[in-house]
Amino acid sequence: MLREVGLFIIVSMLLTTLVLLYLPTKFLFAQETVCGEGFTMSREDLGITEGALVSRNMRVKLLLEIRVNGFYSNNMSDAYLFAIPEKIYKGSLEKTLPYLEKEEVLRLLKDNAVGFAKVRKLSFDRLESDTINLVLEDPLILLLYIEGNTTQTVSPPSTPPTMPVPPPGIHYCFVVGTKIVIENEQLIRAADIAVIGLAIFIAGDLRSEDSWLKKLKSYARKIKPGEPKQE
Amino acid sequence: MDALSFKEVYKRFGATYALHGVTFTIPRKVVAGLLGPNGAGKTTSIKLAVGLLKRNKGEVEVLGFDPWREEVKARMKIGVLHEKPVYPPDVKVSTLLLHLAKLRGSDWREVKRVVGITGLKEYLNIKVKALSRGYLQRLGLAQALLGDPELLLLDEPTANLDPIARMEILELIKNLQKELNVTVIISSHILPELQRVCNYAVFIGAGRILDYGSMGDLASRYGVGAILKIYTVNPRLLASSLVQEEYVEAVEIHDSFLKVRTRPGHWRYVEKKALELGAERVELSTAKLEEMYKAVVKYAA
Amino acid sequence: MRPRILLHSSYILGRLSKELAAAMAGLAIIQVIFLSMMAPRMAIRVTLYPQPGYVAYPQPPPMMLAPVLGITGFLYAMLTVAMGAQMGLELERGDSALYLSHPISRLSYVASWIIASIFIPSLMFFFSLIIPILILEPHLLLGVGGGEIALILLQVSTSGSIVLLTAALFKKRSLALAVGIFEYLMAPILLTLIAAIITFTTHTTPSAGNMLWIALLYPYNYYMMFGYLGANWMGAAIVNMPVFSMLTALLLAYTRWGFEVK
Repeated sequence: MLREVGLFIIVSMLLTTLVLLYLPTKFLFAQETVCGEGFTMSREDLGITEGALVSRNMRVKLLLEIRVNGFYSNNMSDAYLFAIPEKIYKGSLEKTLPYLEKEEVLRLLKDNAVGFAKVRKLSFDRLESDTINLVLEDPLILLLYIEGNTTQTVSPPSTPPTMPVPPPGIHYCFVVGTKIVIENEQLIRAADIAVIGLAIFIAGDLRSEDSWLKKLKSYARKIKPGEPKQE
Repeated sequence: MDALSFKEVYKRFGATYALHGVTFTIPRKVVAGLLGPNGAGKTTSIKLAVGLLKRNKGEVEVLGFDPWREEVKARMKIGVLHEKPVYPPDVKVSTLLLHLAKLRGSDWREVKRVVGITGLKEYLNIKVKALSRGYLQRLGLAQALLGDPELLLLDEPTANLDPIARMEILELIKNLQKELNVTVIISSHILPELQRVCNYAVFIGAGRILDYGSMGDLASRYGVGAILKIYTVNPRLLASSLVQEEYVEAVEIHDSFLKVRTRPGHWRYVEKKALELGAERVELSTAKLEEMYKAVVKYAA
Repeated sequence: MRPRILLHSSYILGRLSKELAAAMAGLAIIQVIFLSMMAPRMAIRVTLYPQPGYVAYPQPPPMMLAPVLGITGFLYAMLTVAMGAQMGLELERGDSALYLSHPISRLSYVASWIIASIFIPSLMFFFSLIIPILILEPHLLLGVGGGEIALILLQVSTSGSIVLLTAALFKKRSLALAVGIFEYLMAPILLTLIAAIITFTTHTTPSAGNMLWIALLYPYNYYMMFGYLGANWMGAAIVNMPVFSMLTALLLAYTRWGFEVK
């Protein structure tokens, strides 16, 4: 029975490795979306939403975007999406930012980010960022930085008149696309599993009277070119 | 301890009784025939003896073990060839025999031994489905001989075989008993075949035992003619004396013995006479089974 | 000498090793394709940064493995049912009389079929799922639905024991196969219908608690159907486990006391 168990492990490992080497190059990024509302920091010169925490189960390629569809303000002069390592952000940045001028805030965020992208205004209440492309090593905090007066929001257009008055503030969604990265690490793990499977297979096969390996050996002996015949 | 004993055994399939208070014993080291027409309960008796079926009532003992409760211990000591045996078709002969040998705690050596006895050596690497009927029966004998059993149960071993294969199998069984000295129980309804090999008989009909005993005892009990094998230094001289006896029907002279056919019911007399005339040893070779069967059935009726 | 149960189950597996290896390859390919498609989703966790005042929108329970288990679970179940029915074939055809004429007890014979038709397919299924995860990223194991895997293993094992019990009782392969297919495929649909009728006629709102009876035979289906109502996998497993144990015990008890081979 050990032989069969070993065989199952080897078959599964081989197919997994083959598929993993091929498929990830073909797959599109899978998307996760998380939405929220409101500013963490809202001032007359800037506003920040500490959007999402991206924690890691494995190393992956990331595509990061933000889509805002509820920001009723005409005061935005500039905006960015930042991806900042959680450790750095929680360590010092988070506490310092409220006390800094907007230029300093922007500089600090840019200095500490592992990636950032410009956010553009698409229509009256809609914003969208370019895509940040990076490999996720450590948990990240995603931040939306908006330059301008974020303490006031304007009313939406009055037509049609029945339209409800929108809430003040901001409504946003972070979009995180992921794609697995196949590296040596995975191949080494596959090799480890292959060794375990092979060891189980050999141990099981050699104990079996109907050993496939022994048969293979005797078959190899048979087809080996024989010694020259003596006349 | 007997090789096989049934005591008041009942076996029912639904509402029908296959065995109805069956009682008999078969001692060790005999070749016993379990004789009766189709549907008499022979196969049921053998399956009860192997522990494949559970009796409704009574006691079955095989070499001292209850085959239902102590199945492994009992089967360790018996080898069985079933009537119309079924083998997994896609398995090689070697794989099947090796597995069965392993179940008995044996290995390749045992497989080699039994295929040597049954003439299957050349067929080890062939799949079971490729074997002819005769060779399937040899495979059946080979698997029954695995583990050197003390008791061989052969259920209709020559059924569905052509005459040549039938002769070969019978010859094989005869040699087995001689060489391996095991107790053999053969179930059959073809009496002339068993005539050649049996020295003990159990007559069964409609799920009841009609009678059982050694051939000699049965021959005396039912007044049936018998064939005696008489060993002597001078077979020709003894033959000339015996041929004049009124109970002797025919005499056949061999190198060291005579085969003497006696009139029904008088083999004891001929045995005594032969010993008086200087015979070294007298063996009851066979009684006439067909005659005996008729007598038993008539008596039972 | 190796225990006869292991000897005989190895022999059964040896005879079916080509078919099993093919089944294993099929399972492994499907599992790994699905997993590599879903791995990116499992690779990260995106949550709102926990700040007072933030409103997190409710997320559905993370039944990541549901699509893959739906397909491979079906194949795994059919493999188990087919293997169990194979014992019915042996009993029907009469091969079993050959094996049982040698020193293997009835109990060991049936137990070796339990190993070959329930334990080994479960092991195959488990390996085909766990090996891709181990190669991709062992940490994923923590994020994968261990409960879902446990439940599908239990559900299929329960079906397997029903098939074996049918095969042992009736000694018919076709019947065992039919019972297995009905039990795994048709009966859940009927049960869902019954559940719907009960809910409709009694004007009750279905809840994870009052539908727990479905978990008696179908803990995985129950969890999938009522997960959104807060059904928890442990509860489903606790409800199913006595049923599985009872069926297996019944099979073994019948084997010990009444199992005849003709």
